[in-house]
Amino acid sequence: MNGNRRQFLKMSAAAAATSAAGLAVPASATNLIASTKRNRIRWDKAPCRFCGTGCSILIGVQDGRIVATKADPEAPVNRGLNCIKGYFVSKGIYGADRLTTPLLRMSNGMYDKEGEFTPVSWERAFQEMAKQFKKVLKEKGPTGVGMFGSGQWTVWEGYAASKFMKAGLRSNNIDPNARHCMASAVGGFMRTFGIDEPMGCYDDFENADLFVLWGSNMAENHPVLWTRIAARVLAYEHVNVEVLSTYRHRSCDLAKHPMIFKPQTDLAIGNYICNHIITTGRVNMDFVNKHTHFRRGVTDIGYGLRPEDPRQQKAKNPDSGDSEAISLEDFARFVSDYTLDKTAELSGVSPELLEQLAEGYADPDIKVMSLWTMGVNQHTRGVWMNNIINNIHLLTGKISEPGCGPFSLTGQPSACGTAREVGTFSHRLPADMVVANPEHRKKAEKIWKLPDGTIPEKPGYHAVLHDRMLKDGKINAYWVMCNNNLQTAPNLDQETWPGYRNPHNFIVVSDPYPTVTAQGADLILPTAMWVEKEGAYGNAERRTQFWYQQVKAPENARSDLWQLLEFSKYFQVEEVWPPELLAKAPQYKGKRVYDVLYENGQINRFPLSEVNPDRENDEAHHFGFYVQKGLFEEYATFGRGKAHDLAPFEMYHKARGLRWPVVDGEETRWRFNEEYDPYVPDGEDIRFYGKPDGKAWIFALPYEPPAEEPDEQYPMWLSTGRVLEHWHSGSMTQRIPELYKAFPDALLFMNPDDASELGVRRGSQVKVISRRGEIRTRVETRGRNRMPRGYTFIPFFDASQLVNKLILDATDPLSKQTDFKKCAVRVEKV
Amino acid sequence: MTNPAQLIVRVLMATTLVTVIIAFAAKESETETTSDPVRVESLRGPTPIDEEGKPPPVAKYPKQTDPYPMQYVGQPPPIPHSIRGYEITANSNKCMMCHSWQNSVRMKAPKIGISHYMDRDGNVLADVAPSRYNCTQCHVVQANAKPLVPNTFSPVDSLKKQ
Amino acid sequence: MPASPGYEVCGLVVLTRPEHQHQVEQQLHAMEGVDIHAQDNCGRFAITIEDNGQSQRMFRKITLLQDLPEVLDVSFTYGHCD
Repeated sequence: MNGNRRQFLKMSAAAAATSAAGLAVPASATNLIASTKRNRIRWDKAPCRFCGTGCSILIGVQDGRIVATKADPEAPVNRGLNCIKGYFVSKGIYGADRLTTPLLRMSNGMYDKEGEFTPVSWERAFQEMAKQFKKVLKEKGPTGVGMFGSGQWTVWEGYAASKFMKAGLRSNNIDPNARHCMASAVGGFMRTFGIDEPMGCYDDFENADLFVLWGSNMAENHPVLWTRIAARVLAYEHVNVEVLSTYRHRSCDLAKHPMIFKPQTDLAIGNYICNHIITTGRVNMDFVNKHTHFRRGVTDIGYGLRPEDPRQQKAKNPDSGDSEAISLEDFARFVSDYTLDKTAELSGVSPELLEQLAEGYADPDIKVMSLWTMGVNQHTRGVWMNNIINNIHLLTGKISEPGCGPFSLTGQPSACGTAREVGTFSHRLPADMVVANPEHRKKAEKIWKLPDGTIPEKPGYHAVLHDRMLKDGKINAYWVMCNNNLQTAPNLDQETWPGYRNPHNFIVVSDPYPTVTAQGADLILPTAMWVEKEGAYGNAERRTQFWYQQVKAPENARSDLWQLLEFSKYFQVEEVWPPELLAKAPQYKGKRVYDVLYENGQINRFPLSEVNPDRENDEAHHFGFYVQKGLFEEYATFGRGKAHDLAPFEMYHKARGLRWPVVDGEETRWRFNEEYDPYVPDGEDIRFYGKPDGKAWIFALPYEPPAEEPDEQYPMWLSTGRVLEHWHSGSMTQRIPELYKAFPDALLFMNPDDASELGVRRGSQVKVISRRGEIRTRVETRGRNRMPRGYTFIPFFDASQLVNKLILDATDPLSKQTDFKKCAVRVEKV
Repeated sequence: MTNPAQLIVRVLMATTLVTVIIAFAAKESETETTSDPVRVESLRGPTPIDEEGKPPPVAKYPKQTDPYPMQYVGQPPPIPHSIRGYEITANSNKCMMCHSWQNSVRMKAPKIGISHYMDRDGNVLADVAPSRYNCTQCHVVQANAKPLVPNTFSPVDSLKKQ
Repeated sequence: MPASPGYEVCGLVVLTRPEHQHQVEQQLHAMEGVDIHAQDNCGRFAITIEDNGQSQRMFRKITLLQDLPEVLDVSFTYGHCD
């Protein structure tokens, strides 16, 4: 070995030690490394591809490939820390089975639903796809087509998709998988405050005295945020965390007395807390008088099942979100029903623990942050439960100030940024506007430079209805993008799979990998992912984060953005708009949908010279303008001046994200509070400006039973969810060897006594059977989840165990979000 | 409606993953009319979507093995030994019995990294930062399981196996 | 061909209390194969150890470092063996 190599190695060692010690790197080391070309790594930031926490990652690139990843020390969210998924996120793009060419089911050179997947060019793929979509549009009109999108789309992809469907094809049948994820939180915030998303932010973690986890397992599902809670709870005597769950999990380890409650009784616990606050005289009367109204919500609203389902027919007020004004006294009377004893009896939690929890909320000197994700949201009364948590914070005035507030976490990296803020739901438009409101449609049409009446007024089908309508043949052309819905949608055998194989339906799936959903498709489009394109995500604390394209996608894989815009070139306006609409905008005659929607003088106004010359940007160079900036700036006009202000595009490439509303370059940490939020008029102190009179609504809503409960035939509860090492359907994390090996296969967690009663033990093969289907798995009786008698849990990441075959497609009737957390099953020894 | 099982079976041609990848690459230069069908198989393997296969045995984790090669500097090292029955809670942390500063020399175990002594604000603390109590957030055991599909990630030269 | 002597190098962070910084610096200078590349005045050193022998010797050296009076911690940041 020569001396140069030794010197180089020594300097590398010195540099590593120096940087680990946080010391200035000696000049000799930097010089040597910089001069050794093959050791140069280009580092740049990007938000993590996985959950809604929004950790920032540093990506190291060498020769066009990612070679290293580290946690971003400058990011306020995670300050140099990741979870195991974040540390390995970059390997998620390097699975050996990346799709690299479009694949169409064909026989004898023609499309055939019963044919075999055959590689075709993009042109051939889009021709067939356009032919199928046009056929359906002609036969059934815009309601016959649909798109299922994602809270993992970048902001501009969601925006481009929404515009394409709602204004281009004039169909509101676009919904994101975020419907399965936080639609109930949206419903709760909209109903209580008239504006979506948490008022607080992650800075609350360093300010709260008490954290209450409503059905959330943050230690596994939001680990980096959990470290911020741990840092407080373990370091300060007075700081505590209360964990409410239907079984014991890792987050319970940090709680003094975890509260294990019976499914659905969180509604009663919430009402009991309100009752306790009132009866002990701890209502913040000044706050309540100034800033709230009381309402009584309509009850007996059904379970979002098919109309012919007996449970649906029995409901007096199916799907009703109506309410009437009541007084504080009425509300007090209503919650007085939820006494300590009754609630303890119903929930199974001891009176002492319930009272201690209620005291935490009631004590005016304790700052409380409530946190929840799927436990509350995937709930047939999810919006109600969101409302009830909001009630508690409003009654005590513990809201919109550091350390206080209801905080819904998100499961996807851009559930907030793309699904909620862009409004890619079947009923929404950007900036909290809705298609049913003529003023909102008009505003959107004006921004989009489109004639009045372009956007249909009737909300489209939501996620679960997509699958029902595919099965029933009401939707016949369907595009699934950036999600794995065949694996993740409820009631797979009865409601999802039949629609995919319905001979009248043409199913397109865009994905980087051959997922279960891709397997069920008729056309697969190979997709560029994450840092193979320039992107933007919005995390759970309203933080919008950008990244540059870092590497090229393999071969013919193309981003969702490229696919959406290119596909729109295959439609003439005349083919998708009725003549009377086109007559209102004759300038668009003879144009392509692409020209009308995307080369509209707004989106194409930023030239390529504004693209960062040191980074790739395949989409910008393909379309000939800075397409991401154009889409972002047009989208941002919806929210600017409307309390959803986004900063200028360039700011986000520099900052580690900014929390909207961003006014005069300043982000907003606590909304509705005069001290922090420029939208609160001077002297008003607090204003819930989402409501016309600035007052939030406190709702009287009862406990109602779940759609399905264990009985003799199906005696066990089943909940699905995640494990730390995997994310959602596992299409990325199962392809990262370190994560795969950490938790290779799904297991059924059950109580050891239940297992021995069945004659099985850890590792035994069992069948899990519900009224809808069955799966085979193996038993786990110890480890991270400790189940009470009669309860089982199974994660849904494993493609070889499609647990959603078991799940009932019951949804919250208001948010339309599925309840994946409770159904009845039977476990049988194999 | 066709039986979906039949359909999937027809799609599942007995080709290996490698040949599929080669086939994909080859298709680039050819005209599409000559393309042959390819197998599209998800991580389910050959089991049709509407059937459920036999689950593999519960994964076994090695009792003790050599340290795993690092993929990049700053990566949390995987745990090269079994942690079955370890208690890792706020009150009791089995990992620290060997990996803490106090014990690591005596136990001949790697010490936890210096980063673990720093809080969010970069202050170096006198003991492990409370935020780091949850060891398994970053450090995981590795089952004796063959990855379902290979991963083509490659670390920098200096970390490659010589 | 005779085997060429091996080369092994480690990067380490050594931590002491600020009041013992000078003392530890002297001790580090006295050790064979140790070079100090950077230090601050809070008690942190970035050092390398080189050796052309076997791992055992390197391991002993690191252990030795850890056992030096007033050294609070030694953490390993880089290792290479040719």
